[in-house]
Amino acid sequence: MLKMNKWTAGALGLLLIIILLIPFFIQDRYILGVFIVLLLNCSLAVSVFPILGTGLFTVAHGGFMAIGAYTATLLVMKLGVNCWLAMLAAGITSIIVAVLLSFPTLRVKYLYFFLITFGFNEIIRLAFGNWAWVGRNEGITDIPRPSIVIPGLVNIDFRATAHYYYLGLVLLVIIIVVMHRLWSSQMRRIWQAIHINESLTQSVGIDVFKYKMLVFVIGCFFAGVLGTFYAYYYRFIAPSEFGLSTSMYPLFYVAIGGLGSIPGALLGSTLLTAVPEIFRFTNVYQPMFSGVILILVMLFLPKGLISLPAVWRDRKRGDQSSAKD
Amino acid sequence: MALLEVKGLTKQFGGLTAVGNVNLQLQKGEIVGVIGPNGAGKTTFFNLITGFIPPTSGKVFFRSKEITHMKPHRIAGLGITRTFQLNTVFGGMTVLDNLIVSSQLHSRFGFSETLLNLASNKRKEREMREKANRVIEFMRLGDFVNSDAATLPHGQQRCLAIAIALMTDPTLLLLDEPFSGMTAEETDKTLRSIREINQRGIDIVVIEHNVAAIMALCHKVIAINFGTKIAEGTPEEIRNNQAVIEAYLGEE
Repeated sequence: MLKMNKWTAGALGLLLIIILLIPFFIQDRYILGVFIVLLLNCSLAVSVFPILGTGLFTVAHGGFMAIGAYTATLLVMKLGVNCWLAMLAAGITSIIVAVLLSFPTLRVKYLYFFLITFGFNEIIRLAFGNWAWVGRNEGITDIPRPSIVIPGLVNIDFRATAHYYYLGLVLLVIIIVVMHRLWSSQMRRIWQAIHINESLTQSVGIDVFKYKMLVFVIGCFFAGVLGTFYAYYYRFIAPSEFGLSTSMYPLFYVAIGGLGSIPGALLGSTLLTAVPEIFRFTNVYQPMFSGVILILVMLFLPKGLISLPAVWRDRKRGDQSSAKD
Repeated sequence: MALLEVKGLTKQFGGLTAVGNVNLQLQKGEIVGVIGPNGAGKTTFFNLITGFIPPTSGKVFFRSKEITHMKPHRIAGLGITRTFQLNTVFGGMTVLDNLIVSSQLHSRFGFSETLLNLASNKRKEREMREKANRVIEFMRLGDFVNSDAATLPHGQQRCLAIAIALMTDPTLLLLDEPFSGMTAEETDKTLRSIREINQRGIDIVVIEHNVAAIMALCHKVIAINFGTKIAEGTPEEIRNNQAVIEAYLGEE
């Protein structure tokens, strides 16, 4: 567990209050939209980092978002299913597909796993892109807004951008809580052990396949749910939205923030969402800045931004000891 | 009834016979040594017994139950745990975490109890911590509890490898060159630890190059060369066996 002093706890509390109050200060729909994208990116990063921590470099996350987004959208639009039930169904569909995908993919490692998940992602994208019933590459437009209605009590119609902000925040909190529980327990040890030394993990009686599948399925479940959030928020989905770059970005967020920790994943997502936004005026050169950050961080902070305090402390200590000499 | 019985175990890699028709019976209470020159097939022999590679032919029985084509984790679950020659520990994790993760077989931390942070989960965490600490003390790793396993001195890493195996509560322990790279003093300490493990009722098979250590430790020794068993007997018999001497020193 994190050991916090009074100041860190206070700062975190303040940060939490600011996060909760953001929609009250920011009325501009565009800027609030950036914050919603930030929440989505943070959620994606936190949902994928344990998979990476197990040594599975998946680039199928976009594909699972697509599965979730299309499942929920079709359930709502074609069958009139309740939007929240549809979101859950989207997550469950992702679980089923992830389990099926586990059998061929989890037997191979490293680059091979990467390539198979990439192939899967492309198959999903191309399949939706050629399927007339779901609008081919034009996708689906006018997806209805979600709503929370309890007669006489609650009526949230999601006409205000703030509603989506809070929905995104709720999803992020749920994902953080679930992943934190798992990542601060024996599950983390098992997943890391598999990453470090698969044979040794087997030799102590751990069913490596089972635990790889577990972490993959949990991550993909959330990817499916987040895909649904994406569909509800933009009210438009198309296969091109869930291509390779959508799958790759969460990996960048985690790598930049620092592999193997939730704060790292959050930090990386925030930086890589904020910086391109700041450089939006550069138009076509905008994606370049994400690349530059990635290269700089990998060169100078291979353990990610989260290691900055430790690196800084070491350097300071190094200076002192060299000063003594 | 033999604890472990190996019948005609054979492994061919293409045209090469790594292990050829090896038979072995291990009785309860024994420490058995497996010696042989480099490339004799000793490690392959372990890999076959523990399910890491499937044999070409032959059978392995553990407590009269056939385990020949079982997966490694299932075999570990039955009570056979092995150590490795290289990459013996979870580098990057603390010594304590190395041991707690290795207790999964018995602690059986579950997914939902972890997610819901149930009392049973906290109890297991506490129990496994205690168990790990007992094993740490037994293997004299007390100074390194919270160190990264990768940063441990070589000798301590090999002790940690044995400690990891002990966390699974094995009935049969297969040690692959436990003394390699150890100083004389470390070898001595480890010898004592292994004897004590055996006295606690765990049977042991040791692969080793350090012939002196093998002779001091084992009740029975098997010599392997080019994948086949060339001799079997007490340490004294092996020491004087002509075939063994030839395998190690070459013919006159």
